[in-house]
Amino acid sequence: MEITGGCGLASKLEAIGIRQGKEVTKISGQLMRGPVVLQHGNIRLALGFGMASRILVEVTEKDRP
Amino acid sequence: MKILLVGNPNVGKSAVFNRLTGASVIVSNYPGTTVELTRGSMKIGRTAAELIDIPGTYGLEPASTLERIAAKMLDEGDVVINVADATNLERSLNLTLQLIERRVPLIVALNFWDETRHTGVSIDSKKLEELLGVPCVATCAVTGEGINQLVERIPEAKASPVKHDPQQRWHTIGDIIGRIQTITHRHHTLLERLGDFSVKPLSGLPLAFIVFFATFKLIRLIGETLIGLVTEPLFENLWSPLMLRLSAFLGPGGFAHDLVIGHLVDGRIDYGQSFGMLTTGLFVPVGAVLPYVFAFYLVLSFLEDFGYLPRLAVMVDTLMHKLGLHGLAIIPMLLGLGCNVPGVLATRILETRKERFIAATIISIAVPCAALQAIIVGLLARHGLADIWTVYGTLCLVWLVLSFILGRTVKGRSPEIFMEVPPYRIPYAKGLLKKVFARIRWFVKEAIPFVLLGVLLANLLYTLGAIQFIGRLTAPLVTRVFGLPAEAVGALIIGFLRKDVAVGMLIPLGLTHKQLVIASVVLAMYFPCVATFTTLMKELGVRDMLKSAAIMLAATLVVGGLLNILL
Repeated sequence: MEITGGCGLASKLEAIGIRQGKEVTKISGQLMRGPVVLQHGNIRLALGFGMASRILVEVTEKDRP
Repeated sequence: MKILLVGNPNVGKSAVFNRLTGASVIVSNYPGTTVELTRGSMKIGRTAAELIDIPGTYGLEPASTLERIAAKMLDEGDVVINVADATNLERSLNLTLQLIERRVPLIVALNFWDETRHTGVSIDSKKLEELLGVPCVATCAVTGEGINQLVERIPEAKASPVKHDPQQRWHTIGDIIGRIQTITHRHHTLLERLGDFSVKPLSGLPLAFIVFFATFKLIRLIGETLIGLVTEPLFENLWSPLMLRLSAFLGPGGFAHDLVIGHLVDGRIDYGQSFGMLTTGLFVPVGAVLPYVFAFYLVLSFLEDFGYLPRLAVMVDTLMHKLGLHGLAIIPMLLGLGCNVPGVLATRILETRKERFIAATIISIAVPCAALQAIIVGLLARHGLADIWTVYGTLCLVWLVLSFILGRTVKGRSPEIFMEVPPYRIPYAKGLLKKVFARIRWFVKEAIPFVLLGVLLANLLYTLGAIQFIGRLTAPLVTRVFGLPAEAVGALIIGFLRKDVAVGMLIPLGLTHKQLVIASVVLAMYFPCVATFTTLMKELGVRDMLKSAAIMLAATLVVGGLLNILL
């Protein structure tokens, strides 16, 4: 997967080490628009649904069944 | 000389701090354990130095209050020890390079070095040192590996001669990483799988309930066992004979006797009812409360070090948002179950004023501390478990309803959760015990003087007739609204000093169990004890503190009155 967008959030994500064009894996989401947990390398990040929905991803080959 | 510890959140700065200074600052496995500057002293060879532990930050371009503090402190330090997470080197280097741009004398500690092995990361630290131009030392602060080397090399710290373009920082990092780090492919470890398992809704929610009930059971089991096998026998068999001799020496009936020993029940000391400073006053904190406090901190510290709490925060985030808070607020709440003071202090991990106000208020109203719980459970358990559940159920309901109301009415923002979830780590037993004992020491130091003072004051007020007087004054309120006898007001007065002593004062009053339930709930809610009160004042400021206190009193009147009608 690939991050292609996201507004003021980008710098916050960058500080944590997740940048445009990097691969991320979604570990989990919660019911009722709860937070989403993403993984990138050894980093796992929990972020709110609103923020997560502003990250656009492109599904990569290895995710397709 | 001033040395600063700077690093990303949850890289083990506090663990390094403890190793370097010999202090026992609380170390946990979640970002935001340290919320204020911690100072300590250390020796490098013969020279003394001041070491300052700075709350974790991802960068020096400040986004939050804590990061601003970190950036400001940099001007004060002579040397900066940059604690980096060797398992997340890329991200850590982002801060390291920013520190290099600031031209501060720098030394890098590559912490969690031991973990790089099972995460399949191999780092050439010599090469890294060359590329960064500052000393780099591999460490594992929790066990102490590499710490001596770190200390020896502090004098070598220097502003790096290496220059790079701040605009191209990530590019530079990528370049460095490519030259020093090799990653071997590996399978997910069991702990990692368990970690992901506990944040998925279908498996995580049941797990959260299991953890919750197991925790509750375990704390009761450890607490009761300790009381039954250790503290009660000690008091009964060793302390009582001593006290009886002292009682005979002082002569029953005198003022000094009443103060020190209290009343004898059938010629014997009854630690529940005697109410002397050296009998009840000592038994309450040491005999009845301490075992539970120990049990509570043992279990909580394990969960903290293991890394469960941030995952719990993810699981409860949706609920907490409905209450105007966010998932991380669960951590101060849990700490508040031990003692409200560290609970209120921990609300600093929340970002906005609104969240901090709601969390601090809710903790002081609806989160009973371990001392209070121990005495309430001890008092109510004689009539079976139903009453205990009524008390806990009521407080839980108050917690939900009140934070829901506050979440709607208090102005301000409740931002979305944005938090790194650390990996599960097997707690290091020695470190864990050290932390539990640091907390116990803190409890003993804080609690015993206030308990003794509470017992002393209760006795004085009774002797002077003050309690009877105020009792008559407030009788309409206490008797009509809460349905309690007028004497119960004594407990409410002493409750300001220590709530456990206050509940103890209810024992001789011979209350019915409906009254006991109401009194327990009212005592838990009506006002924080003096230690929490001063903490609230410091954290919220006088105006918000007064608002918070008004909410407490109003809520108590409503809930106490309702219970009196409903039960």
